[in-house]
Amino acid sequence: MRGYQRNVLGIFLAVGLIILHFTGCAGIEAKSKAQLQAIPEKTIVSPALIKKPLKFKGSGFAPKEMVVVDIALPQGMRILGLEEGENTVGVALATADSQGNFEAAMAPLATMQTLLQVPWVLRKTGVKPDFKNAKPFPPGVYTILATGMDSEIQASSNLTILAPPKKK
Amino acid sequence: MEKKKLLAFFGALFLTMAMAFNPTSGIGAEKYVTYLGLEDFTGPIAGITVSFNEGLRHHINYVNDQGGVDGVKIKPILLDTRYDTSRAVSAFKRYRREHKLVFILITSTGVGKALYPLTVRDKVPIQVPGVGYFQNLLGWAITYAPPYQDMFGASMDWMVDDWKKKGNPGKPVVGYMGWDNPFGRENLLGGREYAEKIGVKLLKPEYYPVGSLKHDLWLTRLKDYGAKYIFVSGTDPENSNVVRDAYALGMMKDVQLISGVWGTTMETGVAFHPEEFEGEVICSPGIRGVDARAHPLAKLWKRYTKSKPPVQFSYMLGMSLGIMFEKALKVAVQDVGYEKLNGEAVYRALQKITGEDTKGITGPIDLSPTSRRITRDVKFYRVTGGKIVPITDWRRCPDTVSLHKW
Repeated sequence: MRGYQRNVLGIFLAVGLIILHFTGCAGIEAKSKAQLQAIPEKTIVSPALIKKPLKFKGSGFAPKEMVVVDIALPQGMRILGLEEGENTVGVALATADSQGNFEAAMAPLATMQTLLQVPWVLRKTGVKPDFKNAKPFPPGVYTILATGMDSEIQASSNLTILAPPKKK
Repeated sequence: MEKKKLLAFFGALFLTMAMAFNPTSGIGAEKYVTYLGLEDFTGPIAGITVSFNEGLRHHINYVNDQGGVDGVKIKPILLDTRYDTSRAVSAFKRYRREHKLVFILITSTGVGKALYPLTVRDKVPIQVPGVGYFQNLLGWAITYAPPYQDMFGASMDWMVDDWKKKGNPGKPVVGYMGWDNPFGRENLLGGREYAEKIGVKLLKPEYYPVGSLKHDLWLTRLKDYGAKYIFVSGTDPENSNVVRDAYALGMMKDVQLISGVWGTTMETGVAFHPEEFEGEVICSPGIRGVDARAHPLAKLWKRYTKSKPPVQFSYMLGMSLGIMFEKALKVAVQDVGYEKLNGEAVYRALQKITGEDTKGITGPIDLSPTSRRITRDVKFYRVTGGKIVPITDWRRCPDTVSLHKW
């Protein structure tokens, strides 16, 4: 290849790479050392979780930043409140301490509306939760993600939802 | 020569692909900005927010159908975050890099406060409920109604006028009932100081849990302490239960009940309890009842949806937000042009639309370098013969926010 041909090719490649870099499509993400754990890692979804909620613990985030924990939904799973194409749902929120560690528990409303999938109905006495028509998350292994809202550091782990014991 | 052609071909292909994968390239795309709504259609306040969202969405559709604002269309991403802060923060994370995200509507106070530092960092203005905190802050958050405490102040002004009109001496004794949460307590952060300033005796407030079914205890206590007016801060139809209980206790004859912005509407409270609500007064930052149903823009819902008729007051108030945004976007486009259009340009523009109208849905826009209130005016309505009818014109709210030590 002649010198000028190499130069032309080089310019094209450089310009293309710059564009990819600025568009965020480079597909290169720094692997962080951040950690995430669900407590417990295996659970049965039931109204008992409203009183004794699922918790999440993480480390490796920026000090004092807000951290949001999401559950990633398996392909094809639809839940109330998410638009088509949205496949993660926020379930807990915390602020990291000065060491970048955090602990977050699911709020009662998040447990009720997300894990238990309780719809709301308009009644004469107000808008009320309709537990009879709840559609709890089906058993399976779900990916959970924690994201630092300032640093954009991410950590992931698994949460296993167990089938409830069969009624005798 | 062949090598040259091959190089040129691959080079062009590489560049084209790089541009095509760039979501903000704008090649062949129309000019648009993104409007993100983190709203609550299915949670405990859904009785009012569904129609609120419809009004906003339909106005945006209407603007886009007319060709946009100076050729710039608005892409609405209006989400249901179910009154859940973690869902809202997660949704913000998902959409914060959207093409020309210039504005975020947030219908929960908690979410507004949680996201505020992040949206300021992103330089995107947000619109939040009427909490005085944001007016006091004078930052990147504007309210979508006058601050709650200002409306409570205007209600006390109305009570004093009504008291005098009835030939009574001095000032009335006023009771307050609200949800036992930050929303319920907000009215008094400045409202309490204003009562003192105008010489109204404000009784110890009665807070009750969200979802309470009986309110006799709190109502009776206020009446026993001499309340002649009781302000009920709640969300329709939850607050219907308070009025229903007051009626059952026979209080409606001696005590005037007044509900706040999210209170009684013709489609829920009055529809459920027409007899019990008779005579109740509502302090409203937007047209309501018969006024809302008669407004020409109220017919837009028929054009854009086949769903059942909305709660008309919420629908029109949502629409007023769309009108406000349209006006600010126009100023921003004129100021900086499309290429430089961003959240900061909209933030600056919002402060320049002072005094503009919202087609009669609310009082004049009050936003300015020293105001984050969308408007400062309210109108009073009364339930009469199963309808909600106006009893005053627009009245200016007092500035109670500045009376409070934040």
